[in-house]
Formats: sequence, C-alpha cells, structure tokens
Amino acid sequence: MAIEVKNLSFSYPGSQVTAVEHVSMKIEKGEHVAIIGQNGAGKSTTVKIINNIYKPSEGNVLVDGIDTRDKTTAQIAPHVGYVFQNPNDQIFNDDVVKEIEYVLRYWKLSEAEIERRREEAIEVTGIRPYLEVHPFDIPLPIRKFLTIAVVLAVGPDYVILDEPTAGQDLWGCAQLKKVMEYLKEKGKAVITISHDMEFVAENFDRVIVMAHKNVIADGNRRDIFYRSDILEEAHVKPPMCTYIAKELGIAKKIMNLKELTEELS
Amino acid sequence: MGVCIEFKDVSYAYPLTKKAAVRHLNCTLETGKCYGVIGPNAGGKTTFCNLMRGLCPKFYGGVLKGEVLINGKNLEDWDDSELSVSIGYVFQDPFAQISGIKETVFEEIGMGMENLGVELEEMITRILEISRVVKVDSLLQKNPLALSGGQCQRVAFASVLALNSDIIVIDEPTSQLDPDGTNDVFEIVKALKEAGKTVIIAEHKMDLLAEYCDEIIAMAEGEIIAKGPTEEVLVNPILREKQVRIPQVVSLAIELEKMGKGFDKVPVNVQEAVALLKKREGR
Amino acid sequence: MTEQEFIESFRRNQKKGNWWYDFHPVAKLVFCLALGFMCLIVFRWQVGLAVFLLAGVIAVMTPVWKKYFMTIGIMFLLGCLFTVLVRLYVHMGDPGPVAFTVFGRGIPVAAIISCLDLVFMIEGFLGIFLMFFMTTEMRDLCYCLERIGLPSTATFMVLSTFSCIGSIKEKLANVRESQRARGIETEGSLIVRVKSILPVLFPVIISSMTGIEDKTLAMDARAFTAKGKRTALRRIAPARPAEKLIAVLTLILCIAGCVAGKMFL
Repeated sequence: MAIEVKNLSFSYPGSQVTAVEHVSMKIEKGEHVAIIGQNGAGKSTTVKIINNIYKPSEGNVLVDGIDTRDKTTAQIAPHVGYVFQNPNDQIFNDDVVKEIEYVLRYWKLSEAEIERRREEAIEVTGIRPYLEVHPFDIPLPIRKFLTIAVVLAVGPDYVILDEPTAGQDLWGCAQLKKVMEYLKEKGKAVITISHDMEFVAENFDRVIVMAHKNVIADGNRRDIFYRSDILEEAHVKPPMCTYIAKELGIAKKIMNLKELTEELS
Repeated sequence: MGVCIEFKDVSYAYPLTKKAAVRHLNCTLETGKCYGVIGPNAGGKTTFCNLMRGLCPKFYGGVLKGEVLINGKNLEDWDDSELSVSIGYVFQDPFAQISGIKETVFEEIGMGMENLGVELEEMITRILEISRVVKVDSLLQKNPLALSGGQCQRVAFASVLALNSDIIVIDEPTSQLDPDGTNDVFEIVKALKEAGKTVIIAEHKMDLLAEYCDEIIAMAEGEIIAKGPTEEVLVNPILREKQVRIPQVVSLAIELEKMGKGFDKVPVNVQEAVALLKKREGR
Repeated sequence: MTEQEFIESFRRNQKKGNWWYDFHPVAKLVFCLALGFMCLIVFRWQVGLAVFLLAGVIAVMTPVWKKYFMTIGIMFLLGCLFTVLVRLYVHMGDPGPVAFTVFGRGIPVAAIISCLDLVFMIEGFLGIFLMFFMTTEMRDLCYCLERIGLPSTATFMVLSTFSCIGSIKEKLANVRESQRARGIETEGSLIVRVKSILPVLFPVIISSMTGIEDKTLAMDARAFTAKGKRTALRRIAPARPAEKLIAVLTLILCIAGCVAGKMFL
C-alpha cells in the first residue's frame, strides 16, 4: 500500500516549459513526509499530480496500485485528500455541518457512518465552538481547519497539506499538531509542502528536497538538514535551532528548541 | 520625537457583533519608530490597524468609543482622501492590491500620483526611485497580473510609497509569501525605517519582526497586554501566558535563564544569539 | 523595448502610426455609433450594405483586416445564414411576385428583400462596431471620456470589468480543481455537471464579492478618492478640428439618413 511516482515529467497545457522532470518517489502508507524547496522547484505540481488534478505527461503515478491516468480526480479523492491553501476555493455551504457532510452524502453513505465521521473530524480539528457560525464568518485561519475537517471526514489514506501553518498563530499550530498525531495514530500518510522548517523538523521524519524541477535529496530529517550543500542548492534554510547548533559546532544533530536547550544545559 | 498617533480609551465593535473587537486601548505612537503588533488571531491586531487607518468606523461601520488622534486631529475630523494619503496601507492579499486596470508595473506605481495630480516628470522620477528601493526595477514593463505573490506585494508597497505617506500601516504582509518574498518585504520595512517613516506592522513571523522593530505592541483578547521596547516586551511572561508567539531565540534565552545559564542581553536575531552563545561557551 | 525607450513613450502622446487607430476615441465612437444606429433604425439593405462596405474599406487600411474579415465572416455564417433560412421557410407560399420555387412552393421576392435587409443590417451594424472595438483600447477611450467630464469611478468600473473576466476565469478553474480534489465530479453526464454547478459557482461568487472589498481598500490606498485635478502617464492627443468635424458631420448625415430612409425606402 503506497503511492508510487515513477519517472514523472509534466508540462502545463499550452506551455513549452516543463514543470517537473523525471521525478520518482515512493510514499508508504503511514509515512509522514515533507517536501521542501524553493517556489518553482516543482513541489505543488508534483503533489497535484499525485492527487490526480493533473495527469502526468510522461511516467506514471500509482495510488495503492491504481494508475491515476485511469481515474478522474474525484475518483482518487477517497484515497488521496488535498487540503488547499485557500479555504475560500472550497467552502460553498452556509452551514459547517453541511459542508463537512456534503461529499459523504454525495457518496450516499449511511446516516450512522456520516455522523461518526463528522463527529470525529470536528473533534480532531477543534472547530466545535464554530458549529453554529456561518462558514464565511469564521476567521480565516480557523476556516482552514474546516477544510481539514472536510478532508478528514472523507477519510483518505494519504493526506496532502499545502502550507498548513501559513497565517496560523500558536493555537493554530498546536491544533495542527493534534491533527498530525491523530493521522499518525490512524496510520494515515501525510505529505506536506511547507516553507516552515520548524514545523517540518518537529513533525516529519522524512524530508524530500526538490530543486530545478527534480528531487535532489530524500531521507531522514536529521541527515537532510545537516547537508549544507543540498540546502544551498535548493535555496532552503535549515530550522533555526539546527543552524545555531551547527554554528556552535555541536556534534549532536539538533532539530528543535527542546533538543538545543538540553544540549546547552 | 513627536507623537503621531494616539489612542485614548478606544473600544470598537464591528457592526452586527455583540462583543467588542478591541477594548480600552490606550497608547501613543511616536514619529519615526517601527512598531510591531503581535498576538494570536482574533486578538485585535487587524482591528488596531484598521482603526489607525480610519477604516473603522468609516468603512466598516460599527461603534467606536474613545478617541483616535492622527497627528493631533481626531479621526472623525479627517477628510477621507487626506487620511488615505497621510497613512499608507498594505495588507495580506498581494493579488487584491493590484488595480487590474494598468498594463505595466510602471503605470501601476504611478496610479496614486496620477490621482493626486502630480506632474509627469516628477512622476517618472519618483517611480524610478521607488522601484529601485523595493527592487521592482527589472519588472517595470511587466503586466501586474502576471506577477508572483512576492512581486505583487512589492508593487503594492511601491504604489503606496508613491504617495509619500509618513505613516505606513502593514497588516500581515507575508502570510501568503514564501521565504524569499518575506525577506524582500522586511528589506522594504528596513528601507522605510531608514527613510524616517513611522511603520506599524502586524505579523506572525516573529523571528524576522523582532530584528526590525523599535517597539512591540502585544495584543490578545482585544486588549493591549504589553507595549514597550522590543527586548523588554518579548521576555514579559504575560506574552507566554496569553499564547503570543515570541521569537525562537528569545524562547531559547528564557529557557537558558531558567537553567541559570542566561544571557547578558536578549538576542533579537539568530546572529546575536549565536554570538552570545559563542562568547559564553568560549567557542 | 529598452527601459529608456519605454519611459520616453510616456513623454509623448500615445500614437500607433495608423490613421484609424489614432483617430480620437470619442470622435471615433460618435462616428461608429451614428452609422451603426442608422443601420438599425432604417433596417434596409441599401443602408446596411453601404455601412458594411465603408467598414470594410476602413478595415483594409488597418493591420487587423485579416482578423476583421474572418470574424465578420464567421458571424455571418453563424448568425445570418440560420436566420435567413428560417425567415425564408416561414414566408414560403406568401402572396406576391415569386422569385423562385423550392419543393414546389414559391419564395416571394418580398421575403428575399426582407432577408437582405436583415443580413445587411446585422453586417453593417456589427461591422462598424467591430472596427471600433478592434482598433480602440478601452483605457484610451476612458481617458478621453474623463477629459470631457466622465467621473473616474465610472471609468474604473468599465476597465476593471474587463480585467475581472480574466481573474474570474482563473478563479473558476481553481475552484473546480479544489472541488474535484475533495470528491465532487465536475465532468461527465448532464446530471453530474448540474450537481457540480453550485459547488463550483458559489465560492467564485463569494470570493468575487470579498475581492471587491479588498480592491476598494487597495484603491483607497492609492488616493482614488482624492479630489482635484488628475494627471496621466498615458496621454492621448485632444481631438483635432478635422476629427471633430468628421464626427459631427457623420452624426448629422446619419440623422438625416434615418429620416430619409424611413420616408423613401
């Protein structure tokens, strides 16, 4: 059970320029992976092809053995969920509950099943205080959690989060951590695109680095964030605590504040 | 330094809301300083910016109690168009700030000056000058609708700077930008400071903000919970109590302090932290 | 264009080098409106044909003649041909002198003439307006209208409507992608497409409305509401006496033509 990307190349329709070239990766069920790199490196494109929003120009993508070329985007949605950066592109119901339940009713699931999934999604994302509020009156960062709830209710095995920490305050980041823990517990895979290296170092064991439309590194976070050559090529900075540790010549590989303070004390 | 903005016991509620968005705000902002406004979402940062800019209550409606004084004059007595020239405003969505009616970045930046009746040669000179400051001089002939988020935000800054406002209010300008775009925005903030403008910037990206601000205003639950010089406010325990994000280097300093290994001064950026650590560890 | 050339272009009045392109936009508008409405009001093939030929002659003198003839040709095939056939069918067997017979039923001369009236009315009306819109930039027209007193809010509304169309198309594509990614099919049978109308249209409408609020704030931040004189980077030369004369004469001739046409044709 995995997502396999095999030698993927892609150009947007009408464009001579390739967006990704010969990208390969395998993401097993239950893995938490972060894809990092500069804008234009091909991260969003790769992930949108995994989600079957676009079809590969060359190569293929297999989701649990199913070739995405044979299915529509909506048919892949039960397997791969995508939380978009802009919640306003998805929300169209005048009621939070209706919004979460929409696709479940579209698929004609049983009432009991709909209720179970809905309640679980509301609980994990922490949006219960906003159930009576009109979706567009909910503050934008919390509306993000509504779209996460929508995806969680659908229950895909692979969840893609696109810049989940953008615009989030401490509460939002803590709630996001709860969502990540829930997904880990349920054995779901999480793929994130993020520029927030602290968030990546804290929650994702595996990091894939993309640059020049290709994957240039794929490994454990402790290795990747200590490879200055790779980070420089990808035009990416390491987490701040890692940088401080490197500057001080600390031998141990530091990923976050807790580890740094332990080492310094 | 003179006082340019004063809040006197200001409370404000948006229309159709029961709870006030901000309550009993009292503060003075001095000319030429850079103020960082921080705090959790829905804590009042955006309302604070909107009040200064005169959008509350003039644009959004709602009920305002207390007084907001801009350059000594009450907000109510200000002419709308004069206020928008005196106080520049840049906000979160880079694409919404592009007019869509100008075909080149050059004309987009010139739009404000056209509205103010500035003569042609002066317009051209100012556009070229400003585009160098915000680093869009290589984009002057491009269509604004074809720009990336970071580029749009720089053009938005340029368009506002063209009006030569002395006070610039910036509401979460980097939320939708990548690290490169974010750095560009903070470079512009630095340039504004050097030009002597009063800058008020609301942000979540604490690690960068701390470096550029003279003073920090921390807001939570609609009230100002702390205001003062950056280093003093950031170590104030009330910030952590009210869930206000602080820079990582400051958290590091606080944790080390707890273990009895504190620094002499509070670092505001990573270079300072490294230098202090190296000094202490003797590396 | 080099930067120097580009900046120099603002120091002169905007000119394209073709007499029709550079004809003062407002004078051109009066000219075309007068001729176009004369076609419409008189509704006779003689007038329509004359205006159509005039539009053709003007077209040949501009660089867009190929595009013009192609467009007018397509409009004729799609619009006129169908209407003509319907009209002929409807009037088959009417009393009066017969032009020719089809399937044993006579097509009266009157019906043929009425079809010609319709065809040339449309071609004349569309032709002259096409020649206007293909060779006049809206921003130039708006600039000239502002010079004669139209408020800048009106011109902004006109100009931003055109750019809105592009951004709405993009928004529609984004929203469609988002909804497909969550499991709502947008392609396929009629029922599927109809079900997808609300989820796709609603977010577009809502974000267009919130977009208006943001746009208003942004324009306010550019002193849009400032009173007093306005200057412009892009300037159009004021109408020359000859251009004004042509416009006024055409208007007078067309009014006379309408009266004469109604009386004698």
